[in-house]
Amino acid sequence: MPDAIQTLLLECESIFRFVQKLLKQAVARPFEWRETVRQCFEIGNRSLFLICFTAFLSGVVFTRQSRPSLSSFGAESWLPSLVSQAVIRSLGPLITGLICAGKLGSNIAAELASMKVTEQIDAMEVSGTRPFSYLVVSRVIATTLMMPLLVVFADVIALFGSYLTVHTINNTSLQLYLNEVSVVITFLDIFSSILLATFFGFAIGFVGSYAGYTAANGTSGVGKAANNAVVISMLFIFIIDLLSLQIINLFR
Amino acid sequence: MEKNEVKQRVKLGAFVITGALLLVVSLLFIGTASNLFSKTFTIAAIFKNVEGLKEGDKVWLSGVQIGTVKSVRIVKVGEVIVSLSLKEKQNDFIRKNASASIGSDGLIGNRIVVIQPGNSKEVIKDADTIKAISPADTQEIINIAKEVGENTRSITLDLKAISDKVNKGQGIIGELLNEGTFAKDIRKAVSSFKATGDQTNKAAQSLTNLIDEAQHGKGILPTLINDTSFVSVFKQTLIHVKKVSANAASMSTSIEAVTAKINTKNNAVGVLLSDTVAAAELKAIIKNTESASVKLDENLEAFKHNFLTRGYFRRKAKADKKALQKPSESK
Amino acid sequence: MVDATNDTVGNKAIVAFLHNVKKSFNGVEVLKDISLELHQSENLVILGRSGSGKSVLIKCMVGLIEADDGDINVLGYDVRHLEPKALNEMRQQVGFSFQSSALYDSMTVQQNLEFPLTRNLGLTNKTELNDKVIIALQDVGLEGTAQKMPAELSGGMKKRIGIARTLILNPKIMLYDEPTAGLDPITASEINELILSVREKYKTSSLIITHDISCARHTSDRVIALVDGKTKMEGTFDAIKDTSDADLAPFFNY
Repeated sequence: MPDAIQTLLLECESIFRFVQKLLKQAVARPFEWRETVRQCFEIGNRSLFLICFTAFLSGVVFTRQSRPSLSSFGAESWLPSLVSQAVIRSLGPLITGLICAGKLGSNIAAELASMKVTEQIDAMEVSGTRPFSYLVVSRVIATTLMMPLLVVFADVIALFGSYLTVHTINNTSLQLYLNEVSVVITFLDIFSSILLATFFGFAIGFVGSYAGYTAANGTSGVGKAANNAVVISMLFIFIIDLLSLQIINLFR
Repeated sequence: MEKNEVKQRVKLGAFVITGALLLVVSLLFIGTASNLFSKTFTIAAIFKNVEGLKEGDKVWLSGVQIGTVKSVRIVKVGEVIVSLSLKEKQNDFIRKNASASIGSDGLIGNRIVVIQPGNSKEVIKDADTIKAISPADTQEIINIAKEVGENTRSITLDLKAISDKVNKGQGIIGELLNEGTFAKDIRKAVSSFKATGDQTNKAAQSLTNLIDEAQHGKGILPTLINDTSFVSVFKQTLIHVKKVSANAASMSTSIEAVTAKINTKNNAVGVLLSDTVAAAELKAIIKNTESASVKLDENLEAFKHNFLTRGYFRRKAKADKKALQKPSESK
Repeated sequence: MVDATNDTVGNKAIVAFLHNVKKSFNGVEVLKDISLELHQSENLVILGRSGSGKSVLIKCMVGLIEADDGDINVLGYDVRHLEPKALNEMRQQVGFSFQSSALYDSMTVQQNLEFPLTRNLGLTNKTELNDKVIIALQDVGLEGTAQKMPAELSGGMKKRIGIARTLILNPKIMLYDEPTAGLDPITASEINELILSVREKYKTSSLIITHDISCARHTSDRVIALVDGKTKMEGTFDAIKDTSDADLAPFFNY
């Protein structure tokens, strides 16, 4: 048992050092602009299609699933407001977060772990580059910046999917749909959703980088790092979601 | 390599700009819905009871949303200040003597503030306070209308009972009544009663309709303000009620005259009448009609003090004055 | 032992030395009091079994791993106490060929070779970069691969590109970490030839870490045997190949 506690404490210490290093390197000059931009492209553009596709489907499914219970007491006209609140407050960020945790978290962790195993990180260091800033800072910044954008896309696409569903069932016009949505959605909803996504992005980038950068040597280390990254970042996403709900409700 | 990178950056730029645009557009959209961007002015109204009205609820003028509720504050018990944030463009339509009331935009829907534009020449300005009709007032109007209806109905029933008896010529009174000046007088009274009965029936009907509409509609005030046809119905009803009261008054005087004759002459008929059940009934009728007319007058008084009908009565009073002055001039 | 060195190499200048270097990981001593010197223009082979701390040794020399104790001096730089800027200066003059070649997977060969140029030297001129890349590729005999991705290359080619990437900075010292590991004998001997030709062309002093006897035989001027984190024997390949030491004999007789 004391061994387990020691391992845990050592892990905490190593995470703390990682955060410290991350913050230090994030402000250190020179900033790796080019690599950050490249990572933004890899993370943002390359995930866009997947996110849009999933968001669209979940918009459609969520609308169809909530319709029966609403229509059972004749409140089918509330469908747009119900769906839009659900999508913008929770569903959009959550879906984007979980998919990115799966896609980006594992990607980042596996990439960094394999770079570590094949000494690419060492090679960078002897080539006059701070690998931490080149690899980790750029990725964490990219995920943190791109996630909110992806959430905006996810929200819009999910609402569009929901609109198409409502339209086919009730023949609701786009104008009416948008009106109903804009009445129930507040600035707070949108900003909190974007803030939430920013935290999700940071968590995904951080967990992925940490798992990859501290991976054990050998090929099994790569797999383990990717696996850990996905599991832990998904866990983080739910925890952050819950915490932010508590905090946002203070303002609501 | 360079080419590839430029391509990537262009795509990334497109992605970021599209995302930012979507965000801005949706923010603008929501902003317009809660009128955050159009120029606004603020007016206030003090209610007794706001029935769950809260910040952000809509403000309607003629069924069009023209603003939102900015804040709801209790100043003291029975006094709630509601400030309304209205679109600048709409202030031309709202006059200084406008009033606000609280309604609902659906069966389980949100509370709304309905503004009645008013008719004074002065246009409302920023930070003005307008009159508020608390929901309690709405209830009062309905209660008054109900009372009128009930009273008129009870009068009608009484009148029917007596006229039935009189027509059938029941008992000695009937025989007596069918001959002589006495009988004529009484007959006149009865026919007058009949007329009153019809009138009151009509009035009661109208009022009942109105009440039904008020109960099944969306609150009496918004409908009254927003729909001119309702206003005319209401006015007609008031005219009817007025007629009823006038008839009842004349009726009671004629019946009084009859009883006076009976009582003073102290003849056989008088004795008979004063001793029989019929006499008691007749007295009761008189009492009823008198009280009915008093009640109607009271109701009318209430109507007069009500904001909706105040204008009508004022005009009426003016017209009456003119009518009085004209004959005196011609003399 | 020390006498033997002096006989064969003579009094050439020392370009790098380690003095009493110690390093342990999680309480396990990997390097126990290591001292050695690298002379001008010599090929020094460090021979040892896997896990004897060879890689740790040369990583300590370029500051990738911090030694716990002792002095490390490379080209006059006190490696253990260097400012980042001086460390970078030192690293520009020391080529490091990694065991796994360490080519950046996400970049083409061209980008891989440009990386140290833009990073270490801060070069941006396109034609200058191109020229240097072409020369470096010619030196390792792989001119046509500039636009390929590392995944498309064989193990031997990767090794060569890895070496080219370090040569591109004109290093004074080359550190080879297991240059022939994982290669077939023919490719391995090609790499051995390359190591020798690199010395010819670039006048480098090289430290070659290997467990491959044929590599040691081909490339070495001098051999140091490393056993359990200590230097066990030192001399020319021919001088130590007939050793009767229980730890080393199996190496030469297998």
